[in-house]
Amino acid sequence: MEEAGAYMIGEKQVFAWVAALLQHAQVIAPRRLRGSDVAYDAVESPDQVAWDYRTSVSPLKRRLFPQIEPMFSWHRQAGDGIELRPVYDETERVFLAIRPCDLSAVFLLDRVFSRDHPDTYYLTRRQHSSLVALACTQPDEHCFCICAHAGPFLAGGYDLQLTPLPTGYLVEVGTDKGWELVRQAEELFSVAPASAVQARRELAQQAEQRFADDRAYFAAALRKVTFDRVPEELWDQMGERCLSCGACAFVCPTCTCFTTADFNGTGDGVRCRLWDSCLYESHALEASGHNPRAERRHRLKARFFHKLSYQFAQKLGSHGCVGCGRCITACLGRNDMTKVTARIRRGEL
Amino acid sequence: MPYVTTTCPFCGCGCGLYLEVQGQRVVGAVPSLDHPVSQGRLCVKGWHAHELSATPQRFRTPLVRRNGELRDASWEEALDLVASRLGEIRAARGPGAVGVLGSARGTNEENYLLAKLARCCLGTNNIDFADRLEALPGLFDLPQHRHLTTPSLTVADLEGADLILLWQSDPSHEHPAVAARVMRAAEEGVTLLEVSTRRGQLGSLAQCHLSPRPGTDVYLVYGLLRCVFAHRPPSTPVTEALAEDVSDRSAERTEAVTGVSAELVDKAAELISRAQRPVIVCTRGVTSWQYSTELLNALSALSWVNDGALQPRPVILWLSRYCNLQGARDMGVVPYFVTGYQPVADEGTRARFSRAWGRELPAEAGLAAWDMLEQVRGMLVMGDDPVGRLPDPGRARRALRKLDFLAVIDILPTATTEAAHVVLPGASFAEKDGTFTSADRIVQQVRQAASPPGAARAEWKIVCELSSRLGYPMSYHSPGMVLDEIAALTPIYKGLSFAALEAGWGSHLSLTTEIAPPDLNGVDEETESVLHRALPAPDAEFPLVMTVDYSLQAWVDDPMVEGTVTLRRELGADRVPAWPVIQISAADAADSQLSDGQRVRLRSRTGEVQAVARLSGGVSPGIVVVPFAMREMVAQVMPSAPHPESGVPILPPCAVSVRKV
Repeated sequence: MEEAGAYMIGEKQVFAWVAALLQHAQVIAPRRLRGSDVAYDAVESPDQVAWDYRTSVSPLKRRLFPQIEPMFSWHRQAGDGIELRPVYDETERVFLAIRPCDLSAVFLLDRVFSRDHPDTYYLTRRQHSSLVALACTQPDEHCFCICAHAGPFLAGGYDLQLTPLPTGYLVEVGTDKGWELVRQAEELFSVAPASAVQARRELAQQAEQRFADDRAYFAAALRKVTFDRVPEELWDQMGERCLSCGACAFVCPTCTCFTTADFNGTGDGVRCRLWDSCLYESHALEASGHNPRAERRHRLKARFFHKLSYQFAQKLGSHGCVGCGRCITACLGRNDMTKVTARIRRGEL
Repeated sequence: MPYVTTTCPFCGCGCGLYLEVQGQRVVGAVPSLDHPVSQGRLCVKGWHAHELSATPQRFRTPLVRRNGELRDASWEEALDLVASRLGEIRAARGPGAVGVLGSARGTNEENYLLAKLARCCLGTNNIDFADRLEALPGLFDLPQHRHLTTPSLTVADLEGADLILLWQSDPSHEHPAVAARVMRAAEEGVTLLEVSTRRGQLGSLAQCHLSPRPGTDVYLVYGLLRCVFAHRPPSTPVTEALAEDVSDRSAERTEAVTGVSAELVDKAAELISRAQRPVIVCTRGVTSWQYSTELLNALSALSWVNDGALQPRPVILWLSRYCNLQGARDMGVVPYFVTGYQPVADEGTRARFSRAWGRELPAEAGLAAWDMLEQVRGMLVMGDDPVGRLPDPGRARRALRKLDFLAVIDILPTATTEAAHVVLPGASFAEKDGTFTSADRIVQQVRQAASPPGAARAEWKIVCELSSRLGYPMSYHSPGMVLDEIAALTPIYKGLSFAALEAGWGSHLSLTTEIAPPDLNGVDEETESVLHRALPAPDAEFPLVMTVDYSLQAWVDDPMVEGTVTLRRELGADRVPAWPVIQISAADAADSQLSDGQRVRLRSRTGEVQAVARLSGGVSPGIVVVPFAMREMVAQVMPSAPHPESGVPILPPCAVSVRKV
């Protein structure tokens, strides 16, 4: 098969392609739950993929870094012995039709989980995953990926990126892994004509125009947050509305805080890690009883610092927000990342 | 299907969420975006409800007490023991000697079967549940009063409101999905008023915060009504009569009794008078004190204030605390109703149910939960925790210890299971099929996502087995069959079935929205003096008034919180303080030279305890607040007392002093 940067796959062939993928991997794709809810979930057949979705109720991180994840189990042996068995997930997975914001988040998570102490649990899953993006041509109500340079189309990092066109999808190849995915079903793909590539460029430009004018670009806000030039009253106001539910951390594709807990039966048990949230009052609580972040406004400030400041951006190569907008939807108090960023940038309270 | 649609098992809001299942284990939760209540949001409890399935604290086998300790036993042994002991007690001392408690957290199906067991197997109407206390029963279940705690408004109605009045209710603690809506409404310019002893988190968004002295709420309502009519003169016979009733309740007179300034009373009344679609949020803070009937009557008078409207509109959104408190009442877990508020005293009702159930129904009303504990010899408790819920835990604990036999069906250890002779392990919301009826009367499903741990079983199955052993065979194939039977016998649940509930997000029970004209006869001189005498009377020796707060730390002593990893930590269940923590104003603290966190002597006319005082900007001078969860620690200072009319135990506010140790 001719090696090219981009291929075309027709509507009808997509079905067959997914069927082929299902032969040798678990396919995680947008799947309808109930009503208008869609979530990234394992599909059993090609017709379960919801290609026309806007966003998943839960980010992709749930598949690579689960809400409760067993790390190892212990088993008492005869005598005094204890056997430890680590739990690694080596299932082959294709993440199909994933939104660019969620994939951008995965690139960030890759960096978070490989530096300092490589996280074998995440990295094992990641090594056995292929990433296929579905570019966004229509932003959702709370989307602001362009502010975070995380969409609506990706420039790279994906294994494959699909762009919906009238006759099917343009398939851009990003890596050797992506090329392999195409080659394994080569009869379904044809080299993309220049017109298709041009159409994709135009769609990307149009998509960028579709974001509302008041989407707030981060750069100026970043500077103010980094150098602590944000009036305290802003954090006070947000703190008043925060109900410490933890949702912003859980729906955020880039948040990774966790705690551990043991779940034991008689004689053996499992140590798991569980998602945690820095917005919890007890998150920073120390054994002495001292709580450096006893007040909600301090916790909120810390969260925004983590997402927007230069320190983190320098360490991780990008700031910590991909503009998916889920935190806005999930917040009981309607603390809005974009409004806050805009207010910081404009110097307003 | 790795995402199972279900309903949150904590508060009465009824948020919709998905449980994530991996390899037969529940490993996560995510809110539904499409669901009309959750709309993509959950509170901390909803986000961690899935941990109930995995927590090691779950009961996994039946337990039987031997030599003072609860030990593993087989189902055969345990079920036989429960049936034989309850049967013996009934045979020896009559059906009145056994009692049954159902659950504000159990499904409708299991509650229905339990009530059926009580009436058909044990032949008694001694069937109730401790949380029914919240609705101040005896009065509110009468047909003419049912509108008072039967919400015709739903949580979604908050979106159409032009004025929201929080009455002694702090949704940020108790009903976060409601708090989310109130915050959004306030942001969009809806008028928000708060009447509470302690300013809640939403208080900062309110146009007015009124803090009446504890016990004087009803006076405040009369004063507000009078001022509302001054701003909006009555135009119908009903409103004219109401205005007449409250004509002498001037703002100044109201100030003298309640401590709320006349100016503020008038300001709040003016705002209320302009509202076309007011909503009054009421929770346990309204119903769990001495003159709740009068208070709710007075509040509901606001239904009639609409200018020119001949039909009153419902204004009260009453939010019960637990996920199926409403459903438990609907299912007849009540000593004098079968399902749907059909009275056992009514011959026609008894005939109908006797035909359907094949047993004569007992006609005499049974004992209420709080009386039952001390007046029966044997009890079967399913998912209830009277020690944990009643105003006087010490008394409840002593009563349970004196029982000849106590069997408890539950999922986690509670203060009540500690006294049990037999514990039967049940299933959490994630491990069974069934329905919950939310606070605003929407019936929704919970769906099984995993098997119960160990040898635990779904409650409906346990009840069927017990019933069969007690001589009344119950054979249902599924909870769906049970709901079909409920629907056939219960007009307000007519047409409901699992199939009907499958599409969409539940079914709203349509109830009569007929609102009887309020009866403000509490305003006459005689009742007035009775009200006055009931008020706490501070003096030089006991200058402050202490009151219990139902929303502060609302979940800290909840077994479902204590039993889960994250909630236990985040809601403070793992850090119970050695002394009760009271909140006082900075002004009162300064008077007694107290600093924040100071150890103090808390005294009242009945006794004294040591406590820790926290300074709070939300508490008005003259008032001391203690969370309900700490009531046992301050029982000597603020003892529980029976409501003068209904006998229901309440915690009346009392005069206290707070001094340095």
